[in-house]
Amino acid sequence: MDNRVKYDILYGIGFAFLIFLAILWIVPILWCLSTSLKLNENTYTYPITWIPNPITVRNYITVLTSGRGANIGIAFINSTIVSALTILLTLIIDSLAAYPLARLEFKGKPIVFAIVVGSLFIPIYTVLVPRFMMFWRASLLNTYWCLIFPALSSSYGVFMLRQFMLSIPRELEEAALIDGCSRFRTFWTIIFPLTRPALATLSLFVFLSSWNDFLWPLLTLNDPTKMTLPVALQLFRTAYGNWEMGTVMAAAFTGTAPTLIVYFFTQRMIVRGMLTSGLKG
Amino acid sequence: MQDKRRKTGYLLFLSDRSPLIPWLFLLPFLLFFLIFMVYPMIQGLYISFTNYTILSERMSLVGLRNYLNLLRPGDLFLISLGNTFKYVALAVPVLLGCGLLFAIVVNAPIKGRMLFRTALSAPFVINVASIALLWTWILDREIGMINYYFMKLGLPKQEWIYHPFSAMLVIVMVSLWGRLGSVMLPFLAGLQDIPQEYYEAAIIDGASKWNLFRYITLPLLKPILLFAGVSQVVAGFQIFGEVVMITGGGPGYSTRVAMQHLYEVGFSWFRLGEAAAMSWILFLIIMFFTILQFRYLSGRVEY
Repeated sequence: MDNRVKYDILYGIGFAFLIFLAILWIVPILWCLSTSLKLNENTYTYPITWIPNPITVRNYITVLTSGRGANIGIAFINSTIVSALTILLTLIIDSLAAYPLARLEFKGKPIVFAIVVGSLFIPIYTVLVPRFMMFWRASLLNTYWCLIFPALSSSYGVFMLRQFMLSIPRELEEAALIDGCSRFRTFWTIIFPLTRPALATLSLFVFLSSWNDFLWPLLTLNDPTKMTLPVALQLFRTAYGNWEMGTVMAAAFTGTAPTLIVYFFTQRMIVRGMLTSGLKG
Repeated sequence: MQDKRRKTGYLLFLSDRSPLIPWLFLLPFLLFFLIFMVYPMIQGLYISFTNYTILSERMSLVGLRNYLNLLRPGDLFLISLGNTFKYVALAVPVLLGCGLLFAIVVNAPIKGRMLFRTALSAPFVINVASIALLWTWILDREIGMINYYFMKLGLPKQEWIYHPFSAMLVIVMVSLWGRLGSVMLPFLAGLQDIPQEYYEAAIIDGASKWNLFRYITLPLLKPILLFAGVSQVVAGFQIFGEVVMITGGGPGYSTRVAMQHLYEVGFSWFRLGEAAAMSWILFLIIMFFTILQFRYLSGRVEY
């Protein structure tokens, strides 16, 4: 009986603490949303109001259409195109590369695999200067390609898909091979579809990293019509004053809404993906 | 039908046993990997020994001069590097500690735990520019929300990003807020992977809560601790966006970090040789810490 009460009290304290934490973590996002729905002149009034009065979407219209500072609407389209292309190409290239590493025996496989794993730990700035020079010399700065190509050299997807392919039963594939399917057809009609859960998780990770990338786009894009969202947001901010925070917050929220929405619907997949990406090697 | 079969047969003229088949699969990836990863790494090392600037197309070898200049006492690079170390030393332990603690809490059988998980981890999908805009607004000295509530509670107005000490804390705080999910979620996944029977058996043997944590949870989470530790140290040394967009490295040079210095030397002043040397010094530092962590934290875990 006594123990039961003690447990309840502890549980209560822990629960209250957790609620406090969750509020602390979510409040900045809600505040951003709330500010973005206020008229600019209502953002710095005293005392603070949490529910905008009146609620307005004027800031969002300004953000998407005005082009003052930077055109967030165009940046949104750019980010979408870059992310979509990066995801598509990564899925194709990485699954092709993962297949022989998971299934075929060949000379040099241990070396290729060691390089793939080793390069996971290379920080981006070791290649920053030479990569910049490459794209500058090739006159590819301010294009989508200077964002997409380097992303395709990441070995993360190869590693993750290989780990997943190892868990696919060999029998399925062998049946097809015996029936006279070529290696490539076997891969394309049997292995590729079975890899779908891992491909979905990889798409998510690639989406997040390409949508949120900041440093590299900041270096390579200075044409406002080619900018992706994070870079455009940075430029956007310079054109607005402290009395226009409603508009600034609308831009910030526009920049992150897609990732937040995707996250809410795919959270379980991300947690699972973090496990299959071979934490246990 | 007949035609189609012949065509595929023709395209894959190499027999299935050909040693070239695996390489054909690998080819597209290896192409990008060699061009955009391997080649730049080697070229970067070469550039770091030259006096290359983008404006004058000349490039001559200067030996170790870039490295020696950077490591001269009082050089801005060393100041930035010192700040980066300070940041890593503050942020990484806090992140790992909170990540593990919060993962354990939201793994407990409580009502609405999915909601708590989402709330605590969501910020990690927000891009750094949005994070920076949001937090400069919240932390604004005059009209920011936090100083407003501080005043309401009778606390003194804080300087936040305008004071060297609190500016660094702001960067640490914002990264804790924004990166918690990327540490908490792997820990959570790891916790869910621990067989429940281990705990049951230990409880029957009369183990205390602390002992359960100390002798079951912690050892079994070691691989994840290693993974999270390495990736957070690597990410910590690369901190850039938060600093550039929230404090700008100030006040003074108090929050200027290595990556920001590299960015300005290389791409505002176009001293690319020096920037490349910087990136290799940073690379060696990170390698050192990565190897150190592997030394102390790796080791097989048997289930």
